[in-house]
Amino acid sequence: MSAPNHGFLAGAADIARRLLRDRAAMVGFTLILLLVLAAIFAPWLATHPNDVYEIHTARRLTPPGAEHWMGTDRMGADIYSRLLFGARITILIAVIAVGTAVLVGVPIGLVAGYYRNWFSDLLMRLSDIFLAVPQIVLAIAIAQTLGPSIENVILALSATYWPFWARLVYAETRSIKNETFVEAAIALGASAPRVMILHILPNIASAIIVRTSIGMGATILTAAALGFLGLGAPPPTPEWGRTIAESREYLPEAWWYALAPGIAIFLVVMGFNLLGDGLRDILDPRIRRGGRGP
Amino acid sequence: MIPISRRPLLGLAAAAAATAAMPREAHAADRFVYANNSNFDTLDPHVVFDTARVAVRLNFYDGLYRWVDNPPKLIPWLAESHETSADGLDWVFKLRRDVKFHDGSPMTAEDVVYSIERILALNLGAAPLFRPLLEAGATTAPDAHTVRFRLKEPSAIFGSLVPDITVVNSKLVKRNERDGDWGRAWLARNVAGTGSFRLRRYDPAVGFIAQRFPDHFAGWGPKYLDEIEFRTVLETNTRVLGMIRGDYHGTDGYMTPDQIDRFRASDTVQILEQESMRVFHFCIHNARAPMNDIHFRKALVHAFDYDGFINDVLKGSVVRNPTIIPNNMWGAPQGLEGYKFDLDLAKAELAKVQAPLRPITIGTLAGFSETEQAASVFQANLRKIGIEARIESAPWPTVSSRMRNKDQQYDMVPYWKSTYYADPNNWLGELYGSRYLGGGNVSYYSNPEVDQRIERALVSTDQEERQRLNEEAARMVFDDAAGVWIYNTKWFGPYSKRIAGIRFCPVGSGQDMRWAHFA
Repeated sequence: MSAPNHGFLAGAADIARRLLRDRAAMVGFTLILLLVLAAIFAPWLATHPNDVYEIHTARRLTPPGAEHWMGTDRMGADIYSRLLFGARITILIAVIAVGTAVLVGVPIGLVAGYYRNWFSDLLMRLSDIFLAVPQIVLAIAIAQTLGPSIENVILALSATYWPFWARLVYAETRSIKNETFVEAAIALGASAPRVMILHILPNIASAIIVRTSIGMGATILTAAALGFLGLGAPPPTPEWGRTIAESREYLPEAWWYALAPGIAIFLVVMGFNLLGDGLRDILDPRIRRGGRGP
Repeated sequence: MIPISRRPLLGLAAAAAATAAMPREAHAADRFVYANNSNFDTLDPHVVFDTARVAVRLNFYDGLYRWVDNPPKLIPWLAESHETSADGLDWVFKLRRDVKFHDGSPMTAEDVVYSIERILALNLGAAPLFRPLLEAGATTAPDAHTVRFRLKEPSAIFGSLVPDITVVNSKLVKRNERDGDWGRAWLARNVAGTGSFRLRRYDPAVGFIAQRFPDHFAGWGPKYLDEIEFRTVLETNTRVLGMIRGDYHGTDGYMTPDQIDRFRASDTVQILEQESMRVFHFCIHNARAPMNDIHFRKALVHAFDYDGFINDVLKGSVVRNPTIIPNNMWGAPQGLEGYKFDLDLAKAELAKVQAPLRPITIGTLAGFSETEQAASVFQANLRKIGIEARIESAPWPTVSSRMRNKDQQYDMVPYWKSTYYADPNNWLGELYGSRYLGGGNVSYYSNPEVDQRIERALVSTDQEERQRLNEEAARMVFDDAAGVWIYNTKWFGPYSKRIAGIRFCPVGSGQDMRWAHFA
């Protein structure tokens, strides 16, 4: 593998330019941007910002209209406003959980891939144990044991998600370690941490970025599933999964109740997946979507 | 050409045909299917004592007497009659001679003695009601059809409790005892009763199927159900849509008006309406700070939006109940007005609280969304007076066992106190009497003045005095704001229009299936 060695800024600009040409990736990027804007400006965008914790029993289950754009829930709170504040929780969970998984998984993968001894075997077998159990099942078990709260959802997701990065980084490190430029660096007497961080890591960064983008979508979905099962934040937190769980006994009559958070989850997860796909096309030329020119 | 054996293909086709035929077969057999909102984790009649799993006790087992109709009345059942000695301590029951267990063996006084000893020894289920009254070994069988209970103290309610001495087949259970466990492991999955139905199939995750027991001593009317199934269906919407589709013939009668409206709009479901005795309240842990401060409790009772909850969330389908005793039960204080929703009053009371405030935990029942909605209403208003409430949801068996442990009990739990016997003690005594601390008294409330009246009411035989004592005690508990009492339930029983003969009684909530039949 040849690593074209641009300067960092030039490389980023090049990636951005190519990304702009990819329509699907731009749709994904726009969706994520909307999510972030909704989260930041929730207090100003919301029509009923107090409805995050206030209730109005006289207005429960009102269909969408001029006063309540997306209707009201079983407590008479404005679904649109709660949805916006829910975006904050979604981002919080996804960023911290995936961030932790990356911070834990990448060093483990690097170390295990760089050295070839019993310790790297130990690390990889450990991640195998985690990967042997479906992630959602393990996350449910952890969240259930620790009790329902946002912190515990984040913990459960990070604890079950790091092996995916460890595995990926391990495989990439193993193959890059045999490259001439790595062997040269070692021959020049560079220390192991220096080789790993300055020579190997930049060359596998693209794989990590792609995995992280797609991983964000999966994490949001899993977090919503935990919320749906009642393992997420307790009421009145406007978490999307929990809102869908509350809404299910009013289906199909109060269709708007489940529809709004359902579409929100769908769009955000799709946004991360589209962006991840686009990034992969650009950063990892080995795997490409079919039917596309260079 | 590749030779293909025809045999496996034929086998597959036959299997497919069998699968396709199964649902139709079930319909043809006219099995009554009840969708239960809680799972039957055990079939042991002496281990659990709640309404969620009452179908086991009512349909597989019989007691000495039985509660029927509304308002509930006692009718002789396994016993024909009883006599009480002048000192009120000796209770002698004459048993019927024609009662058979499902295995064909006759039921005798020995079985009754074994059953009450088993209840006392296991110390679960209804045991907290019997233990203050009966020592182990105090029950004897003078002859095969006579049982004598020798009580520790006179009791005004013992007669109301005998329906809960569900009688098991002592010989059969003894044969299946393991290491002196009173057959607990075996009886959790098997039935050894005299009841109207025999167990055919049981799976703790799915529920049970039972067949009519034709030799039941009470005989059968011209019409009856041949087969009944109690299936666990935790999802409210699944129960509702299943009823409307006709997959289920009955389900719990305490759904929210949102759901009742859907039933009424369908042409397959009928709603049977009855006054009931089932008080919805927030039980407060009175022994833990800051709830052990009367001012904090007063702040709580003034911070619940009773009208908003009853009129908006429940669409006015229930009536306010100011104390724990149902309005339609004697002993309920007359002319007492419930606490008012008044946040200013609540704030004023809160200002008098000495102990430091802390977030309080409300335990709600998963699958009973009304408890969660009540908690949300409470939470929103508590927030306005500066109390943070945290809502924790868990399945009923979990909540119920945490409630019975003083350290594990939540700060508050919204739930219904159902009828197990028609006496004010069922509500007032059990929830606020010191004698039931560690048993039914999950409020951990203890007040000598109240105890004195509850104790006296338990031994007095003078009905007027008993009524007065209960009213006084209920007022004291009310003045102490020992709980947040909200409403008395109406029962809206959803049944298929094909079903007739449902005999509702607040005890058991209409799940005694021997009277019902397809129309």
